[in-house]
Amino acid sequence: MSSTISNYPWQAPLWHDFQQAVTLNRLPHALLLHGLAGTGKGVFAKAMAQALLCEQPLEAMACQQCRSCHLLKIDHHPDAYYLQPTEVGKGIKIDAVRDALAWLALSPQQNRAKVLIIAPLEQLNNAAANALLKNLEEPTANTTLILIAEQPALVLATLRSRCQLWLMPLPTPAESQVWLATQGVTKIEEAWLTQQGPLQLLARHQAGTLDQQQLIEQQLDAFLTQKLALLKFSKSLQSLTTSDALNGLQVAWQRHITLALQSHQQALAQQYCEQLNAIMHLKALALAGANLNWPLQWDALLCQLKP
Amino acid sequence: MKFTIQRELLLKPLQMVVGVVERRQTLPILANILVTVKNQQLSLLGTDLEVEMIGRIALSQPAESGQVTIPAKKLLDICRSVPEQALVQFILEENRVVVKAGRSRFVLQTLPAIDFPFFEESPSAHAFEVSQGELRYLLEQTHFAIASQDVRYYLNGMLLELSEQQLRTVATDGHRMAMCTIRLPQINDFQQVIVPRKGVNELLRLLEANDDLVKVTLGQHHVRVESSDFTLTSKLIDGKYPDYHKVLPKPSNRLVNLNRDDFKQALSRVAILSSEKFRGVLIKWSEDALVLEASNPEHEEAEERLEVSYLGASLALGFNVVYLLDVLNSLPPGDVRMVLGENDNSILLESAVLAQGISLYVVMPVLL
Repeated sequence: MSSTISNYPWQAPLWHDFQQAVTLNRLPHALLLHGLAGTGKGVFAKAMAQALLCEQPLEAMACQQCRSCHLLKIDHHPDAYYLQPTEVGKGIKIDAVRDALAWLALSPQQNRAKVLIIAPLEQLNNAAANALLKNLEEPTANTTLILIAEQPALVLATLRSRCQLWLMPLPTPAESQVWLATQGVTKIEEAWLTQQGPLQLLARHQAGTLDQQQLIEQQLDAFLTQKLALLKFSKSLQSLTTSDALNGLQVAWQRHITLALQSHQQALAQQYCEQLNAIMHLKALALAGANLNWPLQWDALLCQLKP
Repeated sequence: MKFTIQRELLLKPLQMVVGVVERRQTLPILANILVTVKNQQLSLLGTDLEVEMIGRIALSQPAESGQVTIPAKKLLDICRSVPEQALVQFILEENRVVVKAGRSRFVLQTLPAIDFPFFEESPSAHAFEVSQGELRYLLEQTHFAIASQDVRYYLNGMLLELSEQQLRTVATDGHRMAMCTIRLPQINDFQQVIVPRKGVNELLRLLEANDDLVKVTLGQHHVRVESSDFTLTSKLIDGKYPDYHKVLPKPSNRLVNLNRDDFKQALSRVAILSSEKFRGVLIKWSEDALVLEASNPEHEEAEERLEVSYLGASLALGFNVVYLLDVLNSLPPGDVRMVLGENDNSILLESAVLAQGISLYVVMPVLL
């Protein structure tokens, strides 16, 4: 097994599918890799690109020795193109898509294949997505387009229908905990592992923002029992990054739903579910890179969550 | 790596290679050139990932082999500014290169050669030899008709076609087409490749109008043009070129012969009063004359009359004058033959002096 993939055991079944597709020559020309944040979709896409571009692949596995593998590892490979926002949180603009299409029209430099990776797909605005459609349908020879999305439902339907959807599974909480332990992260609550992949937790651990999860849950409890004022809570959420704050709220809210269900309070669980929708909606907007007035959004959201 | 070379010998190939290196690189290493010393030969390689240029120089003084990448622009500035006839010495020390010339000393940062994305040899290649002058002529005669940023991406390049004993270039943007053919007895196979605009422009910059031979290799993914001093490799456009034979008007009796310069001057005079947006000129064919007319939205008018002999039915068609002038500028002096197709209204222009079929141009009419 390729060294990069074996680092992520939950990806093994999907990698096996990929290998089969390549050996049978049935790899789709466009595939949409989707799954929750932190499941290693980007790593997987890069491993696929490496296998497709390798000079001497063995059973669709990159050799890690050749020049092509080396160039890909240092992100210098001329036949792998990453179409991504120039700045984090900004959309992918149509000009960037046009550049990528011009690149697609040309033959590969290293004689094997071309791989275009688009991530995150949600950040592609409508015009940019439409510009891609024709190439998604009939790409040039030996071309693979890998599209990465967290929420494929947010992607333009005409774009989604042109791709084969590959779901990157979320490891079970137990698997995640084992994996995180090997990376030296131990203090993880199971509830956190149901909504995000271990890679994201690892990144948050490394960035030192893992404690925030606990903080959000404590503050949320205080807020719901009316020990913490709305504006104070809103301010504290603003001090975090949006994705951290939204993930934190989502995880905490899901725990509330589980608790309500366990104590057979159906009506309460129903209400929590509706409130969860509001959080998810905001998360979708954030993913698509919408330019929002966040202080206002937090206040509005907390008003909805208020007991 | 260690070598010494005279400034003048280094400067020309260096300028050539740096010309390809694009200013807005996506990868930092593309701002560098790959310098290789092997078997007493120095080679410089620069690329923007679409085309790759290699310049070669023989080293007269004993040199130590090696390979490294050096910042291109800085190296060129250094070589330009050191005194004339100076000897420039390069020594690679760990990951920095020391450049000495006269009393100056420069230390440049390098990046490892293994990280450099140079082109790989393309498999299943056809190779042939042609003189620089002829190849240049083929490109010069047709390059202006290449489409720019067309969604039909295969039109954004020039078709290079090998067929039975001939080499042909074709370019079109859907409104006009240019085609040029030369005889090349050594060719037997049929192959078509589309060279992107960038590759064509670089070749035009590089090729000189002389009889020195260059070796052209058409691979599956690249085209490579090689002489003793340089190698230019370009990617190809991954697509199928439309069947250009269908565009050529069928021969008919609707033809006129005109003097190129008279026609050109008449057109440029009339063009003054054509609409600035559409550049349309109306051409009227009649028994004894060709009348050119232009008018603009301000209701100003121009008219020119050229005496010709014409046997077909009289008719009037509008054309974009810029397209016609482009063609006339490419045709050799002397008489020009202009043929109207049997059924369609496109016109075919060719030289009436040279043998038929060397350069052919087709221009589509416009509605005025």
